[in-house]
Amino acid sequence: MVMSFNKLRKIEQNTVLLPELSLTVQQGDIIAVQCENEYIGRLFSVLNHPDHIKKEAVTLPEGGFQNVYLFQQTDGLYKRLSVKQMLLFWCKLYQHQADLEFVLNVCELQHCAAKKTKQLTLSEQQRLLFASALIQRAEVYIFEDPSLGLDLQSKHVLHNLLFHLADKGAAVVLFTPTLEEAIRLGSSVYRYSERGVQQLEQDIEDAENTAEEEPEEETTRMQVQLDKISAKIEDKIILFNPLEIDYIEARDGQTYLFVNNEEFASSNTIKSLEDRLQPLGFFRCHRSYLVNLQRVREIIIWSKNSYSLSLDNPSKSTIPLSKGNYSKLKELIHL
Amino acid sequence: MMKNEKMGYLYRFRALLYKDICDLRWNGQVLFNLITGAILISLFALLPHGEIPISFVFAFVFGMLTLLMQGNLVVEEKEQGTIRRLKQAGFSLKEILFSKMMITFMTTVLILILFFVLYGNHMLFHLQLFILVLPIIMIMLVAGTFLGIKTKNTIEVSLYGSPIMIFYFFLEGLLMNSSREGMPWLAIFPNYHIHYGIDQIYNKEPFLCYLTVPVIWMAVGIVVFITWYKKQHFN
Repeated sequence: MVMSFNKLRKIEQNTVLLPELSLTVQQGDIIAVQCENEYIGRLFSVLNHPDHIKKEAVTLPEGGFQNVYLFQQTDGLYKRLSVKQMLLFWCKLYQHQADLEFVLNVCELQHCAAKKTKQLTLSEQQRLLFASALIQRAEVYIFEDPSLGLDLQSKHVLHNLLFHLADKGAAVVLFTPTLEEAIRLGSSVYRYSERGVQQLEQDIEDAENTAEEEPEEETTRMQVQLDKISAKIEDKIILFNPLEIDYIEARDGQTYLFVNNEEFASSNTIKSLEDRLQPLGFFRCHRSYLVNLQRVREIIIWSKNSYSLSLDNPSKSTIPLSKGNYSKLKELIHL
Repeated sequence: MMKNEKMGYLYRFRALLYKDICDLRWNGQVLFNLITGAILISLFALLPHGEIPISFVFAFVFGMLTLLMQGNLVVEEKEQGTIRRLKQAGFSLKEILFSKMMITFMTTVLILILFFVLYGNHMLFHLQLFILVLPIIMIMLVAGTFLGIKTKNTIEVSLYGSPIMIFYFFLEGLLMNSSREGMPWLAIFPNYHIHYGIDQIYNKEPFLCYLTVPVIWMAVGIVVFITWYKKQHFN
C-alpha cells in the first residue's frame, strides 16, 4: 500500500462537505474516481491543508505530503518564463536533474520550448503543467480533473503520462466529474458519492456482456420496429424517434437519452433499451453506454486496453468503448 | 544529515531566485519603473546641484520602484496560482516573502549604484548616503510586502500603493518649498531627516542624528508588520 484514505470525511455543522472516502492505492495503480465537482474541490482543499487532517484519516507514503504530487486546476505558470525556464525551475525546486528533452518529448512541447508560457495555448499550458509530474519525484500522483478542457492531442499526452508514471511504479489517483473520462483514464474506476466509494466492476461487466450476448446473436434477424423511446420532463412525456438519439447513458440508477446536446431522463433500463434499439443500429459499447452507430465518427484507440468512440453530434461527444466490446464492434462493422 | 538538508534548502532557495530573476527580465511594469528611475537619475546627474534635491530622486526610486515592485512580486504569486506549488515544495510564506524582498532590495541597490556612478562623488559620501536611506528602503519593502499580501492583483497594488506614494511626494514637495523653520512639524516624518541629512553629508558634517527618526519609523513599521503577520492565518 502506498497511500490510503481511511474514512476521510468533512462535516461542518449539519452539512456533509465531504462524504466518507475510503480508498487504497497501490504501486502501479491508476485509479480514476468519478465524483461531483464540489467534492473534488473540497477534497483538494483538505489535501492542501494536511495539518487539518486527522492523522489516521490518511496514510501517506514515506516522506509525507512532500512525496505526493498534486495536480490542481488552479495551478498556474509563471507567465514570463519560457517553457524551458519553467522546466529548469522545477528541476531546481525538486532537486532532480530530469532529462528535459525526454520531458518535452513526452508532453509534446518540443516546438514551443523557447516560447513564454503566456504565449502557449490552454492545452499546451496544461501539458506543461503535466510535465511537472515527470520532474517532481513522488510515490503518489493525485490529479484534479486533468482532462478538463483538453484537446485530443493533450488527452493522448495525459494518457501516456499516466501510464508512464504507473510503469515507473508510482500510484496514480485522479478525480473527475465525468464517468467517461474516469473509464478512459483509469485502470480501476470508482464512484464517490454521498454513499461513499463504490468500485465500478468493469471486468465483471465485460464478462456479463459476453455471456448475455451469445444468445442474442439470433436476434439480428428482427425486423425494424418503428417504436418511440419515451423520456419524462416534469409532467410531460416526450417521445423520441430512436434515430434522433445520439447515445444513452446509465448513471446513478437512471437512464439518460442524449439528443442534440440535451439530456433526458428515461424510465426504461439500459438493458431494455438495448433490446429494443439493437435492431435499429444501436450498440452496447460499455456497461453504461448504448450508442447509435450512425452517429459514430471515429474509434479512438488510446492504448491496447483503452478505447473511446467519438460521435458526429454538435458537441463532438466521446464515450467509452470497453475492451470486450471493441472486438464485437470490429466484427459488426467488418473491420 | 543536517548539512544535507541545509544544502538542499539552499539549493531550492536558489531556484526561487533563479525564477524571480528570469521573470524580472520581462516584467514590463518593473522594467518601466526601473528605466524611468534610471532616466531620472541620469537627468539629475546632468542638472546643476540644487535644482532638484537628491531626496526627491530617492523618493521617486523608493516609491515607484521598491514599493510597487515588492507589491507586484508578492501579489503575482497569488494571481498566477503558483504559490501552492512552492508551499507544497516545503517553503513557508515567510521564506517566499523573504526571497522577494531580497530581489527587490538588490534591484533598488542596483539603481542606487547607477546613481553613485553617475553622481561621481567620493566613496564615503555614497556609503553615508546609503546608510541614511536604508531605513526608508526597509519601510518601503515592508509596505510593499503588506500591499502584496492584502491585494488580489497588480492593479490593486498600484491602486492602493498610489496614496502612499502621493503622501510621500507631498511631504517631499513641502520640504522642497519651505525653509527648515517654516514647518517644524515635518520633523516627525522620516523624509525631513533624509532631506536635511543629505545636506549634512554633502557639507561633510555629522549626519547620524538624522538617522534616529527614520530608524524609529523602520522599527515601528517592522514590529507592526510582524505582529499583524503573526495574527494572520495564511492557509
